[in-house]
Amino acid sequence: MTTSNRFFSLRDIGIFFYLIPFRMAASVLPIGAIRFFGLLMGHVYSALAYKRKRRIQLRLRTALGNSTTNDEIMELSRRCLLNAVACHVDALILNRIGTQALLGNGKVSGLEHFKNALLKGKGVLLITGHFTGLKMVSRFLHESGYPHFGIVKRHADDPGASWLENRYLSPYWSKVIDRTGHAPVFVEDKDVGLRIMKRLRENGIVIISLDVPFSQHLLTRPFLGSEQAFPVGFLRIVYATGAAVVPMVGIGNSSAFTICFEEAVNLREAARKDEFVEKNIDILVKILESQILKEPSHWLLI
Amino acid sequence: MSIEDVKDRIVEVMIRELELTFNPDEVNSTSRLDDLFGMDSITITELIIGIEKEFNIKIPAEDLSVEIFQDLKTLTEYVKKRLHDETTMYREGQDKTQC
Repeated sequence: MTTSNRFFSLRDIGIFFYLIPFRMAASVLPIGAIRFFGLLMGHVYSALAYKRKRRIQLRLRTALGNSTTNDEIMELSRRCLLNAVACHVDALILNRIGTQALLGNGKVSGLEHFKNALLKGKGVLLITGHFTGLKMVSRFLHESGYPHFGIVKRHADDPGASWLENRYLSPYWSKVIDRTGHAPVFVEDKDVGLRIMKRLRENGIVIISLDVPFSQHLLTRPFLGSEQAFPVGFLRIVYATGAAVVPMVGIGNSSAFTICFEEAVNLREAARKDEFVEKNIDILVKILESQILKEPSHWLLI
Repeated sequence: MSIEDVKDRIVEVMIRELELTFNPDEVNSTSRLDDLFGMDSITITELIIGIEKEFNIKIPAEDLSVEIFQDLKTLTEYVKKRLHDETTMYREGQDKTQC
């Protein structure tokens, strides 16, 4: 495991305030007040985090090319930071919002594509990225009676983080923020493949975040102007089971969100599994790229 | 079908369908699937499909657990039991049809 040389960093103060006093305040204060405070924090963060904003601008420039003006890139990078903060604030109040109120704040399109895919009876893999509304998607599916889970990675040391963050803050974050609600399935678990297969055989749903290399099986592909490794283990399960693959994007937060299900992907057939994976990961990466380019400021991994 | 026949056919599936390379003579019943064959969780799902095709059985969702797939012995015993259960179910179905 990689460990940082630093015992403590300024980021730890921000994380501490988010995890302890702010999280506690968010459990009792009016939801409107929390959202307002979150917006305020977003603007402050957007003004102060100039290094991160610069990194986002470079990434956006690479991804969007020269057809986008500098002003547009600047505005997008500002919105990226605002949306990221809003997403973290929303995670603290999400469980306080009742089902009807939450679903009333959302707009869901393409549900027929999702339902048609389920009708085939072989389960559905929802393909997406880390967009701001991912938690809304999970809540929507849960409230609508669709059994599902997502695949997540166990906490691992971040070489850029301090010892304090790696040792205490990050695991605590995972415990109180990321793992509320449904029990996640970890990519490191020995039975992850079996659990995916089991869920698909029950005609259930598995959410796959394609934008993180959480798999032992990876393929590198061109992506947003550079190269990135993509998980492909799930495609081998699709090859074996015939499960449907439905692209999906969820953006926004509990006050206003949209979820869009697209038509099931017409996967290319192949005589061998390796060929199947090679052919179809390209299709899925293109879909993910188009999802991100439509809503770059809502993609959290920019 | 004897338990040895079931085991041999499972090993055949591993070689043919999963393209694993090992000497079948070196395989013993307690060989762990992950240690000996280097099988990971995804490969095990492919093994399930291979076994279902080979033996013409269906492994129900509730049986998909690591306990069954931990070694060749437990897997062989499970497949043998499944074959027996499905044959019994088929016979019962035929008897009802005849009645």
